[in-house]
Amino acid sequence: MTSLADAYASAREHWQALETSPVPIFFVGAATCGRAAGSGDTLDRLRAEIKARQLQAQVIETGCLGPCSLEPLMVVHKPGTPRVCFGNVGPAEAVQILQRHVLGDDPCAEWTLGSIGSASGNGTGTFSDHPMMRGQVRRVLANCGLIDPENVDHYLARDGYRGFLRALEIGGDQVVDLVRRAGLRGRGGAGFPTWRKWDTCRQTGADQRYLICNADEGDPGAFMNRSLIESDPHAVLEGMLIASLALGASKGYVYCRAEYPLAIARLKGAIAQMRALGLLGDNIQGSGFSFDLEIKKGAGAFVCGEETALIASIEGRRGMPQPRPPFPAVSGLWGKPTIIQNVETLANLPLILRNGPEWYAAVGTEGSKGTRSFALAGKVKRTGLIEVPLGTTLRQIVEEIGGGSSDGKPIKAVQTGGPSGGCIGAEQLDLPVDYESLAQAGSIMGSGGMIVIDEDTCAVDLAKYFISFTQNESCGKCPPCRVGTRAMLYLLERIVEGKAGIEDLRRLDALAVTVARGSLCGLGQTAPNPVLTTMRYFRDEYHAHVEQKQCAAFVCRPLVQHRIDAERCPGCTACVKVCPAEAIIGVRGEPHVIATERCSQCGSCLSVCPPAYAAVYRVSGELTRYEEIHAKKGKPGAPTEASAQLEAQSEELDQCS
Amino acid sequence: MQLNIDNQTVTARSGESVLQCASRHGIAIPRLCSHSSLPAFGACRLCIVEIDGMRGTPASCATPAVEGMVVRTNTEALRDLRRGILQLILLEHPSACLVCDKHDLCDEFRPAAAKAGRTTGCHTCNNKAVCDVRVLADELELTDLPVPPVYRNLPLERSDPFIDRDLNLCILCGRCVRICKAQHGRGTIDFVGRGSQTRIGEAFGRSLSEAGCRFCGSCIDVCPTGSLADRYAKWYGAPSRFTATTCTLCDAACAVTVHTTAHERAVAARGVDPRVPICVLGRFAIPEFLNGTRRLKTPQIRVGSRLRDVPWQQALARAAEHLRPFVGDGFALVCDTTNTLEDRYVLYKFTRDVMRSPHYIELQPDARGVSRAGLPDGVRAALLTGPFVDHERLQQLDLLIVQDCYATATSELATVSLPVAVLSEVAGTWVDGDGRMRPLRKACRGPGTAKPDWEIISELARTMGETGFEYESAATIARDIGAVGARLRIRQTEAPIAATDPSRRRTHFRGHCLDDHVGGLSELNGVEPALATAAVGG
Repeated sequence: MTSLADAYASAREHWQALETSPVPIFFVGAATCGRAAGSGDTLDRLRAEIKARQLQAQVIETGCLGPCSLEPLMVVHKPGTPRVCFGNVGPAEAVQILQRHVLGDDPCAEWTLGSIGSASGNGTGTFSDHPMMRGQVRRVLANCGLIDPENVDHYLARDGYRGFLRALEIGGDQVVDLVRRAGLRGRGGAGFPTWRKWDTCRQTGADQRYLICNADEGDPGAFMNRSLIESDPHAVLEGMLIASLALGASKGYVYCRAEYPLAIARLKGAIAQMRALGLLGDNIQGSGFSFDLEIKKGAGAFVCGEETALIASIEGRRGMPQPRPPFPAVSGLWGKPTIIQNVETLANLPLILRNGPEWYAAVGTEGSKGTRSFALAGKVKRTGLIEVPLGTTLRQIVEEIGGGSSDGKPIKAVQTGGPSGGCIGAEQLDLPVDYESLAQAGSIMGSGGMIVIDEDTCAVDLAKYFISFTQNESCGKCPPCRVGTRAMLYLLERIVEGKAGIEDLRRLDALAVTVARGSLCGLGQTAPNPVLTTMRYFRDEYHAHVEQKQCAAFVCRPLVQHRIDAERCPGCTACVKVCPAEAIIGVRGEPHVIATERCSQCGSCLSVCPPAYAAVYRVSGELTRYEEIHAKKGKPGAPTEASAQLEAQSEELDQCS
Repeated sequence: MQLNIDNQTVTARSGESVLQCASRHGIAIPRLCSHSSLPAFGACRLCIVEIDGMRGTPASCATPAVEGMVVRTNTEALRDLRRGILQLILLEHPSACLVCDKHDLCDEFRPAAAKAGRTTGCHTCNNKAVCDVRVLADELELTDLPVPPVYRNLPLERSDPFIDRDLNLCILCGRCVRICKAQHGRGTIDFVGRGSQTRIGEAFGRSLSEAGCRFCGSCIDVCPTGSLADRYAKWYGAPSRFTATTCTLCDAACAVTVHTTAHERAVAARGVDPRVPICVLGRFAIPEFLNGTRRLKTPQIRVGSRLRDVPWQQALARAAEHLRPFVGDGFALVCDTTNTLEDRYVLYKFTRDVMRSPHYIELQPDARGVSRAGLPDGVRAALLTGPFVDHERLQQLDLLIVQDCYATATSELATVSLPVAVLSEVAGTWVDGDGRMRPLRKACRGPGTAKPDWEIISELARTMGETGFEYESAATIARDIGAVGARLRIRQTEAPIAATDPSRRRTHFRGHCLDDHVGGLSELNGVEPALATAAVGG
């Protein structure tokens, strides 16, 4: 075991060497998101190229810098110049950058996002001035994408574990007090003041307490925790050390979903490094404080993010929630007081300890202090993982950081909090994002998913998507959730099929209330939120579906009809050839006709109709829409980009479970 | 600890839930998943209440009573919410009859359908008479459902002995899962799947027997619907009488409650102590054994090569007449200790005082319940209460009288065969494996004109002109022999060994192989090879 002081010294040295490296270094974002965007290929190509050219250069896999839409990302250290971050770096681009920028003098401005640090290099601005980064305050994510998550030296060199050492110095009572003064609230969703939860737990006179890190991030479209663990695992683990010191917990678990294999691997590696540094085990750093950690893989049930279900899962029982009280803080894992904290809550602790509560509380609002990370997704130009001070408005997030609507269509709503959250209408975009404001708007902060939708997304269809998600993920224990969500889904399906009457809306309302008020756990209690909020902000859409049989987004297939404008159609037979239902009648040179009774509304005709003619149009109720839709842009009536993403994620979920 | 429930000040015991406290004070709160012998689960959401200072509507079953609590159990909002929740429960349960506006008339004027293949509503449900869901639907005045119900159309599960399962009726209250865990400490069954696919089942799609079910039947006893049913008892309708008595099928002497129909037929038996399971014999074998079609129902005497039914008087006269020449040590009487003390006393007294023979042979069944005996040399006449003796030996006899419950090869050899009432058909005192006296109470009639052993022997003695056998009931004999103070074994510290270890379960009763008379047992023993029975007895 190396002594910690020695480790810090060598880490500083190591980091310094990296900063002033005489050879080029390529930092490639290779977290799951980066890999999905193709950074694996980029890495392979880059390594092959370096080998082929027999270059003296280093390639380091880092975590995620945040801007998903710009991935794969690569930060290049060229000796003697400021580091520069490049975006959209595929294998070809990587070679170009190597050749033109590193070996040559071309700044490769077409892929440059900005230089890292304050110095401007390359003729472009700094990366922190990039529109996506400008509005952000990156504290929890400060290391993400800039350090090698598998190299503990990098973490140590960036003051890693100093927060914990400080905690050891001042003791548990002081730690609780600092956290209280910092105003930290749980980042998992409910926003309960962290110190108060700890206080309840500390007041129990138990011989054993447990700390659990909840890394069972299951909301469709949310990936904050995954990115954080993959990019900076030690930050979370240091937070666990601090929390368990404050709680007097000697044993901790990281409950991580098995669908996050890379995160689990990074955690395992980090835990081994902690052990080697004497930061885990008996009598840590001679302080008398002992703590050990274990990783428990979740088996794919969404409900296991709920505290009591999570505990049941660790205990080897079926993940089903239990009524509270007793609260886990009093009687949790194996009947002992247990504190469960979200990944991000824990990662905030080292910052509070290192920089003090005043520094921490300097950003945020009266009731919600600090920063918060969000997974910004959906119909915005720049999607990705962002971190903003609490109290930032939705408009700032969506328009400034996200760059506004991705296809120029007006933004209709922002969905926050995943399946437990709600839709906030565009008219509320100036809402500050903090716990209270979101709750007041009918949504929740949740774990930090934020999906932007525009007018191509049908509010009813979106609600239906989320209800079908919660319906599938209900543990089945209590009838309001198990049966109620299915009954709601049934009504929503009738609405999108145009079979519902106005009394079905009343029924849906009543069911939503029964489910919300009657359910046992948070999953069920919040499951109707997507329905309740869309009914609140987009009631007219529901009415249009029911009364005019009209879907303004042209998403609900049974309410949409494809037709051909005889005046525009020159009879090119492109649509006739692709129609899978053989519903298009017509010969070359004459306008075609769609036989409605045969048409399945798949939209193939619309996507192949040459833009020059744009003869295929859609009708829904009283609405008519002419549009040029190219095949590559996706079929009309097919799921929207966001919901396709969600669909893919939930499919992945199903496969893993 | 005092709290206020519905404006009543009530006193709670420590550790009590709000629901328990309210129930104890006569304040009824609707419930489905909660059960007196199970820990709180909080699943059905019907026992919700409003409590000052607590968010939302907590389930009273899972909320501990706390000093000063102010609880409301029956506000308009709660009733609405409960109705909403029950409606949801009924979406997954064949509920046509429950929300039918004619159901009162139907109950009154239409006879319940019996032996329906599938239960599509209360009208064809064997659980109708004791259904908790029905009671609640009436109580909450349910008249409609928000969306059409879904019939899950799951196959009826009848591949296991004794238990019929129709999961289409299941409301997932989890009582069965919890009682199995509580009593056996294991998860033979559990929740399977999630969302609307959730159901109760065994891991990996195995059958109950394969999953290690001990067939204690406790799951059936706690099921609030007709989802789990006792295959034998389910079609007899609601029992009209419940008699607590002792199971004499093994030495454990568990107290059981025997359910009897209006026609005094035993249809089911259940354990009494909810904390421990009883074995498959106590739970399922008693009614089937008692109601077996091959029970001896009338006295018979041998006419030529055949046995012919005759009235008791004639049979006893014939027996007396035949016995007289064998007074002395040429006679032997063989019984076993599954008989009551009263029986054994009278049998002994008859042998000694009437037949003046030293050969009163009382067998102690072995671990599997098997009783076998030889007869002393020189014995030419015997009275057997069961098939205890080898046929070869019996064929050497000049006279054989058998008084037994089932026709056997032994009774076929008899000169006189007399039908006996057994188990819960008789009253008396029994001695268990620990030597403690346990009461037997008469729960049902014996078949035909069958009588208890003591009564037959007493009448026989009187027919032979003896005095001292003027017993009117088992109780008068008990007084004579001082068998008083017998008490039911209501509380057990642990489950009887037969309930947990099938290899220690008895296979025989009174010389009869139970497999031959209780259909499910042979099926069960088929999957428990350790139990393969030796070819002994009748």
